[in-house]
Amino acid sequence: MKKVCILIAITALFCVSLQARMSVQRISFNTYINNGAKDIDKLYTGSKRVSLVKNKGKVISKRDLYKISPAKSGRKSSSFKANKVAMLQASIPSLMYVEPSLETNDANNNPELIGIPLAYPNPFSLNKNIGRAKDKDGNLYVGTRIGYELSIDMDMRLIVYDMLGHKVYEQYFEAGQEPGGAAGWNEVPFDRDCVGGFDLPSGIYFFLLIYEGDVLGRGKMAVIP
Amino acid sequence: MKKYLTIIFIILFSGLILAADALYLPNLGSSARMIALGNIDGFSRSSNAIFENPACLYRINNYSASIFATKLFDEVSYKSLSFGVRTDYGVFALGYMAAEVSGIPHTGLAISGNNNRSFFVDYYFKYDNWLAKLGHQLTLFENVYIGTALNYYENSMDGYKGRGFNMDTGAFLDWQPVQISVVFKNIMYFSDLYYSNKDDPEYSGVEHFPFQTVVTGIYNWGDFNILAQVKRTSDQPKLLKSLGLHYSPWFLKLFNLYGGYKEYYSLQNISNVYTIGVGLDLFDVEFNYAYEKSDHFEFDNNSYFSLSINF
Repeated sequence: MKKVCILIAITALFCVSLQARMSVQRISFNTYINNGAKDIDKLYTGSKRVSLVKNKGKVISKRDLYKISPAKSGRKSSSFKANKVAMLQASIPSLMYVEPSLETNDANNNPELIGIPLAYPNPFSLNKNIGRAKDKDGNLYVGTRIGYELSIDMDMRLIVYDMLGHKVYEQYFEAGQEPGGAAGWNEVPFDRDCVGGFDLPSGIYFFLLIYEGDVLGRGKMAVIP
Repeated sequence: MKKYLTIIFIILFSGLILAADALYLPNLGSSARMIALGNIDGFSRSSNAIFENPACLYRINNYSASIFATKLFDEVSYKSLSFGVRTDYGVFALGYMAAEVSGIPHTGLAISGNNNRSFFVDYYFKYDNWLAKLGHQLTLFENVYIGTALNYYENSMDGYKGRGFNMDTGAFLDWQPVQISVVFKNIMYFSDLYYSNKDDPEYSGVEHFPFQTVVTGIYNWGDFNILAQVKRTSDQPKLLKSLGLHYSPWFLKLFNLYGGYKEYYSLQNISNVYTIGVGLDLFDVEFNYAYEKSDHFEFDNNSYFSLSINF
């Protein structure tokens, strides 16, 4: 009888501790993705630069997680595919207790680039206006503007390389900074001032847009004399 | 008289004042061997010497052909081909080097009702930059060689086309165990790269060819060759230094090990990188491999292969 009591007590203790553990991890999917993605990185790799989650030989980037998060409000339907949750659960055991949320109002909190970043005008010159390119105030400008749309305010890093892979420009934009790190449409100027007042040799230049070590977008621009 | 001199001065130097320096393709390197040695000019044994110092074509015995191709960060395709032949009138060589990038978007601006702006892709175009060289080498005295190369440049993208020509000249002194290479690249300062656009007759643009002075010293010490170089380019305020080390063991002469250090401009500052490589000389055929770190965010390293045939 005494043994049975001890067994019941141990079982009850185990159930209570398991429930407590489940309640800790029982957070909404959106919350986990939006606020907990860093925890996933730390938990699995601790790698800040690449921000990867490695499991079962598969490599899942933070961007992949965002891709299968609920659709953004006003863009797609709010339906969240159950099979995607299952896929995520299968690939990341720690998300076994995550409940998918069907809320759409907070879905825009995913830090992502909407569409592909482009430079306008392209080709462009650092000495003359090409194609009567005008800024939003209607002023003609020399050089180009790198345009991209951000889903939320976020820290962004812009790097421009030449054809040999050498850096010619690097700029950091803080979350909310306009232009560069603000939610919505951003037009970042790229002109002679960006390269120390010098002219760049004509040719192709490559830019990367980086958020927390992940390349969110890349593009090419052509410089003419 | 003073007036005429002023006009002549303005005509000669106007381009120099207004125009930027053009991209000089051979800055990448003309072979894996050269890159592995820290981009040192004047140590090539094959026809690709035409891209470095045409005086070094003296090493060609009869015929030589060289090929080098690479793709940098999955975007830029580089290739170079060269061929040289020894005749009774000296060594003649032809060289071709090209860089190509495709899928570049030509963009437009869209403005919606609330002055919301966005950019869109009109179409995609291609970038082609190529250089052709015709070189000639003569022996001036015993162990003193000179060479010249005529260069034709063409650069095209999206209807814009630039054309121009220039010239290199160099000398090589072979006083074993010391060798000295001196080369002046793009010496015709009055010759520029002129741009036009077939779709826009009003457009005109001009770029200078970067004038380069490169001096290299080579010291042979047993199985080692120690190389040191300084390079001055007209559009860059400071000297760029390179060092190289070549080792070919006495018991296995067909095997070569290379190490190098080179400086380059990045963000208007001088950066540096270390390079390594291996080479295999199988009778008349030479394989070379080079590795260097890259400061590209996504592609941490670059690998290069080249092949030369000397017969």
